[in-house]
Amino acid sequence: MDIQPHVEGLLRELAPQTLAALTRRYGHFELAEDAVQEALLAAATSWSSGELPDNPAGWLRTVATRRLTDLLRNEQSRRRREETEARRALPLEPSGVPERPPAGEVDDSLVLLFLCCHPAITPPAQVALVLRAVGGLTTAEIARSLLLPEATVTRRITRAKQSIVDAGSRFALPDPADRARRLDVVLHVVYLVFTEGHTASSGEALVRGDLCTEAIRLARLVRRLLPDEPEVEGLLAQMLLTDARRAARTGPGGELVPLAEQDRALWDETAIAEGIALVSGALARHRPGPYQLQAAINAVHAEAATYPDTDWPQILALYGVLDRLSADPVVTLNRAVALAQVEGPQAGLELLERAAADPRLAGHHRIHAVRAHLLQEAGRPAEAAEQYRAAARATLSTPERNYLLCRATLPEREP
Amino acid sequence: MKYMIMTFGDKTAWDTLGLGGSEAIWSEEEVAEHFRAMGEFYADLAASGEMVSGFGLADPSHTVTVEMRDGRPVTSDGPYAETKEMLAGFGIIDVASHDRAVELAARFAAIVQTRVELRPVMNGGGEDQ
Repeated sequence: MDIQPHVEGLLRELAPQTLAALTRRYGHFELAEDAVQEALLAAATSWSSGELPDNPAGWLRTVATRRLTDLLRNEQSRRRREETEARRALPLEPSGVPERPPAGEVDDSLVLLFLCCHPAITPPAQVALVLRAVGGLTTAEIARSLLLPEATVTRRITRAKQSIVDAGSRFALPDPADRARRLDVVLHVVYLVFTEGHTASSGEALVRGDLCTEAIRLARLVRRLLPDEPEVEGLLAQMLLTDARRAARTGPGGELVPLAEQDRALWDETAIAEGIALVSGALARHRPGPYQLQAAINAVHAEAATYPDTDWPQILALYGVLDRLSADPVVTLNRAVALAQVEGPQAGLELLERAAADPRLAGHHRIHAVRAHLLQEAGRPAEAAEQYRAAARATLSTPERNYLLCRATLPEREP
Repeated sequence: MKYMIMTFGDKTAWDTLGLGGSEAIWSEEEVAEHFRAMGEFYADLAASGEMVSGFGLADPSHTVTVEMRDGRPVTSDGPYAETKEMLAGFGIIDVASHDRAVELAARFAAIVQTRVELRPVMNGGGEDQ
């Protein structure tokens, strides 16, 4: 089926609104989610082949409501046959006056986002559910994005929805205390969506811009709800600053262009300015966190006119704080690169081996790629080439593999 | 004095108008005509000052039962429609006499094409309204 791009964009925008509207009105999040998926499919088919309805949102909501009614009838007749009843105990204490229905549909997307990041769901399932329920992606698109079989994605989403039902979650934002607690998970999931789009752990294209754009949109929504959280600002800044380099990150043949060789004129100045302003404001709140520090590091890169102009001591200092804060081997790996710039490749290689010893990074292509880079800097081309080839074998991304194989041949040509 | 006019239908009543689990069984024109007649009826009642309130209800599959069990409120889906008739909508009218209420109920029945029931509405103390 050929879905026209404008139809696809519209559906993606309307999907969370429709799901939110159905769940708010009728409950049954899990069935409403199925109903909306079926309505989206119907819309994709009929809108692509003919005219758009006068009121696409209303059309989608009507069709989705019919599907929900039909699903409910089927479930109820099945239950009647089984003669079991689904009884749910209600809390003895009423929850107080619920929040007013929001003025715009946008806020309902946020309720969905928090609902999909319910602590009862495992993180991989949260990502899949967020992409479908909030991002409006089909199961097939999610499967492609995450390099998973479609059946696995379907299973994850089904289980995730069941967990929400079992946990008796209501369609409302968590109360402020829970909101802050769940915020970490929400930010993590949003960032996973972004990194999935940006690094593209798999597939032919290096950057899947739609996932990046979606993650940035979600972060903006979260910031509207929680305007005083520096980590929310930090995450948004981090993604804006990273995404600002999108056009410079791939060459004409879709190949990866590393930071050192990027044409900085291609960087998106508007996104950089917004990112720098955001991270500056966040850091001024004196509640530093991993996203703010990553954004600050990216801001230092963005402020350098050329790669050699980069303020490496500043970046190294920021990685030092980040490393203490996050205990993430990937951070140690990046710190090794910065250390090599300040103190030379040997110091970088020594730190790298500390990160490489972490089981979480075992066999990861980044270890080989960074080691290769530092070995080359250290004037050990044969060992570097071997590491580049190891990295190329380990990555699932085609452009990244091409880049690494290309690098593997370079050191041998150089004297 | 106030009366409630109640309309009933099995699940096909909702499907007829496209308000159930499928597209409308009636043609677009028939559905539009139904809502036009209903709107006209409500407008007449509003003009004569006999209208209090009136609404149609969603498909019975969306019904939830809430009851107390061992001192705790418990919800369950249903009761399920099966083939029996369920409350489909209601109007509350404020009229001068029982005869007038019956007259209006008859007009209601003609529009919805189903059986309707009429009952006097009481106030909190049980007196007639």
